[in-house]
Amino acid sequence: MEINLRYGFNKYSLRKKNINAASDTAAHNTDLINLVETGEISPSRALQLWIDKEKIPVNNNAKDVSESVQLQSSIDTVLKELDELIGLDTIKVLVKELQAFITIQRHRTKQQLLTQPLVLHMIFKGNPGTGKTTVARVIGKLLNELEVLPKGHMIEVERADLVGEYIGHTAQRTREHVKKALGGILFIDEAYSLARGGEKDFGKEAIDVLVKAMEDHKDDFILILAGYKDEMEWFLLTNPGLRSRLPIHMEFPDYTVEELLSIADLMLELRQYTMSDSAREELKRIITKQCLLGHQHGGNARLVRNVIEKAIRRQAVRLIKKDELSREDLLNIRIDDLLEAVEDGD
Amino acid sequence: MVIKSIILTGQTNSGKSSLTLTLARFLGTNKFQVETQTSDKKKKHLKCNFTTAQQRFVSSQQYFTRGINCFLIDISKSLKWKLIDTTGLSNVIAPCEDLRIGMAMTIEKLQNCDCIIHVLDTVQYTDGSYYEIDDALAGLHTKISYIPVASKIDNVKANIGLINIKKVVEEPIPCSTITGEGIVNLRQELLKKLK
Repeated sequence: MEINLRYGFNKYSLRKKNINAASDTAAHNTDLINLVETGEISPSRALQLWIDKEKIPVNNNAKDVSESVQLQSSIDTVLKELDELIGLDTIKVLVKELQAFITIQRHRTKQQLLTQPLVLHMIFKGNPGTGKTTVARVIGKLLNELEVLPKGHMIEVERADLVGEYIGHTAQRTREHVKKALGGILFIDEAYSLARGGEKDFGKEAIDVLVKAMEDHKDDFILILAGYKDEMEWFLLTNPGLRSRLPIHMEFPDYTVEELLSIADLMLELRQYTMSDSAREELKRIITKQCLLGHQHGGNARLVRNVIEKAIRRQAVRLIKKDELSREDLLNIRIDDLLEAVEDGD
Repeated sequence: MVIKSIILTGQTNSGKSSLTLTLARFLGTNKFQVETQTSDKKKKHLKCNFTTAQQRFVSSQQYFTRGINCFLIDISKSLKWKLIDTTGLSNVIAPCEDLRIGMAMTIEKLQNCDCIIHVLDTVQYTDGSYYEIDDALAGLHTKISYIPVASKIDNVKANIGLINIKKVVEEPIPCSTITGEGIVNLRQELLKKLK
């Protein structure tokens, strides 16, 4: 029997239940138990509150207490996920700025102070494999926790998904994808290609529908247009109206060799493989060389993934010839596996 | 007569019930005296042998234990240990009321026990995932006598899980209820903590 548990805190169905102020530890602990029992905080949050001896504020109700603690906990979890991504330092700073801005705007609203309109459509600029899609997903989750997006899911499309073959087809397909993305994020990869064919191309029809959708569903979804830096700059120049509608720009730099090595370590760890120090040195040499040679995926995680996956396959070919296999054999990726993976070419 | 309460806690299916029975038997009990309390707060007393207890209290089904099961063990003429098997705790809010009540009962017992055995499943930890609830339980070592246990150490993937568990808790005792590995160490640690 599998039991599906609801994640985090159901902020939309809170029970209103007044609890007395907890003036001593025993009362505080009893309150925590009650909050777990009524489903207002998770067991892990209750334990944290117990350990930290956080006091439940006086003259407050269960909704306010549990909402604030649980909401913060969920936001922290998402931010932790962001922090765990390798590299992307400037992006992490930007996302945290975004989170702080939204939170402070909300506080200002409560205090009846002027607030700035929340326009969160974004442009992501960077080479493939630099973390754009991953960061977009994290932003979806974060905005969901911040209650900006009710679902926080992401619909990922490219030109071929939006542009049709006859008049009217493109608008219909684009509207369908916008509809699917309502409550979350519509992520258009290589978005510049929508303007590739000029005025007569159906791509322009898709852009027009997207602009209209940003007006009609202002608070219902977030549009992220992604692509190579230069191409996206060109795209925005050819569509000046888009720049003001997509005010948040994030630039994803290529990974450094050290960051790519850390990504390789993580990939191997997740797949339960190990690499000796000498093999790691060799991988470093391979990555450096590919970056210097201007490999099409030089400086991005895709290069590393390709090398690692090929090395794993080469290891399998090497091992299948052996009569006896030790646990060590199955775990270890050797230098020759890496070298053969690179020789295979891609 | 002194009675010391030892609570076995952890995530669902981490092996708490199985470890409770194995430990109880290892401590010399063949005939178990059990006090059960279900989520409707009704208490029952029963006596059973190891095999019957296994059939009744141990299952691979998630959230099989929904309440509290206390096993009373005679350690000496003047000392008893109460091994308390509990509802597994989750990282998130459970949708069913009886599960939430079971988890609340676990937390209540944690607040009033003499020692905690925190059971972490090596198999669950093989993929390197992070579990907020285990992190929170590990934090209890500052409040109560605390013993972390890495369960199912007989599993082929257990070594990888054990490495990951060591990132969460310090010096877990590797245990297996199948091979009996680690049960002696666990008893020694309990004797030390409850001295």
